[in-house]
Amino acid sequence: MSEAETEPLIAIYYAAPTLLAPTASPFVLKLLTYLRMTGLKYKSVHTLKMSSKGKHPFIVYKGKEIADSTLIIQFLNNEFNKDLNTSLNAVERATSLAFQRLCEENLVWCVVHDRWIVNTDAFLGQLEMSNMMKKFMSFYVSVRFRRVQQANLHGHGIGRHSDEEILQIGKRDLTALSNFLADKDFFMGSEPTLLDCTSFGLLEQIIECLPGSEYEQFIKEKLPNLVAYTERIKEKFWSDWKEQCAQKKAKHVNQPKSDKEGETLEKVKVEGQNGSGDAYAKSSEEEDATVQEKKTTGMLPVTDS
Amino acid sequence: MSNETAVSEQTSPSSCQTDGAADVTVYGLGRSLVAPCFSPFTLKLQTYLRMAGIKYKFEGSLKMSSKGKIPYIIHKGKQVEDTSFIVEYLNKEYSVDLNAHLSLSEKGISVAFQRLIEENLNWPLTYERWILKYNNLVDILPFTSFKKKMFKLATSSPFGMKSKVQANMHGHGIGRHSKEDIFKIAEKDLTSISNFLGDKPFLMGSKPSQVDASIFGHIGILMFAATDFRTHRFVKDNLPNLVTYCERVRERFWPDWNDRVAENI
Repeated sequence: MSEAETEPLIAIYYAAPTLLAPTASPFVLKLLTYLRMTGLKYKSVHTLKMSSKGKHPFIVYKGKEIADSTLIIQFLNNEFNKDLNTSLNAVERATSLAFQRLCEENLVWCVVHDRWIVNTDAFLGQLEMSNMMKKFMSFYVSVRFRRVQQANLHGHGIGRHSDEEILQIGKRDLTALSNFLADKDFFMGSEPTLLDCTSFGLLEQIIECLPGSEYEQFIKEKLPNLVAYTERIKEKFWSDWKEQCAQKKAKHVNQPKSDKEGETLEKVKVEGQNGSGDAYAKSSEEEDATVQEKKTTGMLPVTDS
Repeated sequence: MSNETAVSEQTSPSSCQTDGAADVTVYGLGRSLVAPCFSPFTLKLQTYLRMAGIKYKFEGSLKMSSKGKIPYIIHKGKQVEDTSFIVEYLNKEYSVDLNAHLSLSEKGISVAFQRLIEENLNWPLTYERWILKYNNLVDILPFTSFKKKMFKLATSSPFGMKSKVQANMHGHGIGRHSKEDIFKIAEKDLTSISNFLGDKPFLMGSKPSQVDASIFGHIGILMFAATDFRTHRFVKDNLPNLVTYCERVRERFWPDWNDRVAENI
């Protein structure tokens, strides 16, 4: 299901797409997948401006800002009389909530840790920006933004563990998801429900947008049902996935400044575009994003509360 | 004592806790006037030890682990921190598996509920304890009135516990919500646990399993040691099966509960 031709009612605010995904944020991807599942029409507004809670996504609907993906979904359910969980009984809803908590209050922090502490260069490599901008971002992130995420990780508690312990925690959660999914099509059975929005939003980020990470390796080697699951969701709700990603600007391909950059670009190309290598068209949206990034500095959210 | 097999159900859980020497010493904030220990994670850990039949000693202490948290254990001179890692470590050392009877899917569900309690519900309860009902906190501590005054000064100072809790909540994210939204989050989580439990004796069925230690750790403290909380009233008024669940777990694994609380000074 793609965005509407007619004037949409709901404006979703989040940072620009990356080369690997329509969004780097598991929570934004959760919300967009929910909108596609429910058939609600929306318009994406790419911005680095944050919500009143300091996170992405937020929406503006009839002039009112609503922040936090869970609260947004509750609001839209009420406003438009939608309920992806309508077929679930009380026990199933409870199970569904427990797995949502696992994803949103625990596993997502492993992604934050990997992106902002362990494998930052791999993450920055996914962003569509000039090489000079990437150098600046790499410096800015290491000086400022990483500290913010470190404080968040510390506040949550998970940041007090060693890298190896955090990896163990992440693997435990991924194994729990895989064991519960088993051979079902969707987490709660043969039809998608709200949990699928959350888990797809997060699993897709781990499988395709943490290139070279141990999580990616672990899922692909040990938990193939999760990989098949994300492909199933993409086929059903994100047939335009590639078009929704940022497109690489042609000049970047021809002029890698160093071996390291060339390697990063090559990795992104192979990982993110399945070797197609043809998506190098400019678009006005990506230019706006680049301009935005140059104007403001280094606020690249990956989570909301 | 390593590789000792789990003691069968014939050994009473209350005899696991000893005041003498034991291979495992649990360090955590001490006892309160209404509970054998003040902190939910310490209660979780001690409940696990009693479920597993592992002998331990509990030492009340203000000293934090190297990660700045409690509880932690010392086992044969080695410090192990974080209750999840402690449980995994002791499971190996003592060949314990409280989840042996669960299917793979049930094990997955069990992890999910553990995360719901420890990574989400934990925060509204911490918020109510250290922020909203902070002034009532000293009422359940076995302190002289002078020590109570010092405690209040220390915990409400700029680097004290209160401001740490606020900073942690902000870092986690929940601190950015309004008070009402925080309560709604707690009520949603508690209702889900109640709905999943239904009329089963334990969360995953007729036998206790590892996740029951997590649930009792937090909800046990809520029901027995936080009777003035709004969330306590919510459970009492709306979720009677959670009330009977807590009483059931306490009767089975903490028959010595009243002997283990602190005495008033």
